[in-house]
Amino acid sequence: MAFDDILLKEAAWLDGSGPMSDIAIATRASLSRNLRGHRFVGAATIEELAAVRREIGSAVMASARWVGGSEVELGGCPHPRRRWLVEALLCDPELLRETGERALAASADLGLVAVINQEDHLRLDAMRSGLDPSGAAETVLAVERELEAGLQFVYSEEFGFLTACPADVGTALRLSVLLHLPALAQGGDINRIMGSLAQLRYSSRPLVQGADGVAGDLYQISSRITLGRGEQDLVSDFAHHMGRIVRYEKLARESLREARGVRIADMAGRARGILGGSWLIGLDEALEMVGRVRLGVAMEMLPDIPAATLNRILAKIRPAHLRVAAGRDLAAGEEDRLRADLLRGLLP
Amino acid sequence: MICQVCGTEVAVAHVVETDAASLKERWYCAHCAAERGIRTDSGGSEIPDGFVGPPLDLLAETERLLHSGVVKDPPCPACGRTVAVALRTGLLGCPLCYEVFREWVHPLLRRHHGRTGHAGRIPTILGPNASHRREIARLASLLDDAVAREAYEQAAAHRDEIRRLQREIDELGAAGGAERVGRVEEAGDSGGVTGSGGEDRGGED
Repeated sequence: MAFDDILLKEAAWLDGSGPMSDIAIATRASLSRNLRGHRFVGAATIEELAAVRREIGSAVMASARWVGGSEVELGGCPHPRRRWLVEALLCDPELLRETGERALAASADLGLVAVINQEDHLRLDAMRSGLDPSGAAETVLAVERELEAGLQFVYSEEFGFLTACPADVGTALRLSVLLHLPALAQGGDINRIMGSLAQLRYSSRPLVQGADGVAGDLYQISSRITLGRGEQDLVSDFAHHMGRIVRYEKLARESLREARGVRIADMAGRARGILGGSWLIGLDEALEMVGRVRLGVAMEMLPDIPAATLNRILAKIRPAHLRVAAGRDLAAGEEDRLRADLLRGLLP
Repeated sequence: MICQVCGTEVAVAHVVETDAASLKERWYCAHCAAERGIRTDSGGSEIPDGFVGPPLDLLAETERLLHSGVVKDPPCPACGRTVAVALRTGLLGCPLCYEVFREWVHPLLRRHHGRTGHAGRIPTILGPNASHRREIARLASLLDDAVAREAYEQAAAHRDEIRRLQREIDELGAAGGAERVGRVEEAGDSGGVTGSGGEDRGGED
């Protein structure tokens, strides 16, 4: 089954090789398109969605970009598996709701994902390691041009590419980046920065909202403007503003080193010990400890741990990943035990 | 949707009533609406000015819509979606909704994006005319500004560039390049939209 294929693959964009990847884990460019002559997903009949699904699905899977890739029928995909896809950052939580006539196609390296009949008929996502909005946007736009040879997307001279949500219309291009910002969070500057981002029309949300705040200091920041500016401007603005946040985080880390270097090293070392020595650990604590270890490694206070390991842990320790790996429902408390087992194996 | 009073006629008015404890939605046909003093004519918007609030804060907008009492809300003829549904879901039903609900969509786009005109990629199936026309519109605006500032040298440069682009459009037309840009009305498709081929048209405002 195609979903099982995906389980065997590793996301190349989590290998930590991209620009500024000590702070920027991965960048995503998303492009939304709708087929001409059909109603949008929310107003279409199931027959219409099936036709859209067939038309786009065959165009996508015929593309050389998806050679060796996997196509998952979301209609028959059990809930834990759909949640697995969300945890692996391959699709949005929105896919957890309805599933009829929906499909997801992932390329062999999981760096390119087409979701059919989510909010729009087609959403194309390209992922890149580190802060690389230009690379991600170029890829997703190139793929769209290739698909246009066989698909006709709805376009208006006034509003650009039309989408079900008016917030996406125009270029229908959104950019997002996953940032690790522990020093800004500890220094108390994070709220001010997120407020500034909101004024610049970027949205931010935690990767995982923990009981005591943003688990592991991981923030997903996304562009909101899609209309009135060209693709190149959107990409260069995003690169500029996210680059500034990365620089602020670096400065904050240096301040931390000067003011509380021993304390930070101590926290990182203890976190490393907890991850390598626990037999029961909850998600919030695990993400927090992984974040501290990541900071310790980036500040060269801990022996090196490959970035790919630390990045991939972020999905592997989440509930649906543990459940799918176990191949069964988990009893109460079992999740924390399996998470600890996994972490001891990955970070002995 | 059928009138919820007589149960026989097609509903043309959607009324949302609220009180402190509940919301009630009712659909009325023209006759039943008239009996209750609900206007159903299509001219003019009954959606109050300033209706669109913070960027895409659709729940808040819905509240304001509901508290406006009686809201005329004819559905989109292509997909049946109403503004009330669009507000509740945040989603339009089809390309034609952008035209049918223009009075709602336009200010929403301005609030959310800060601007309303597309400045991104133009599909190549539309030919170079589409990008030329957009550039001409941009230059015409700059030309007006330059004239207003009495910067005549600059104005002349803009005018010459506009003429050059217009000449290219004319030559392409004469060479058989069909004029395929603009608002395309197609049977069975939505007004003002067309399919796309594709090539980048870089960013400009």
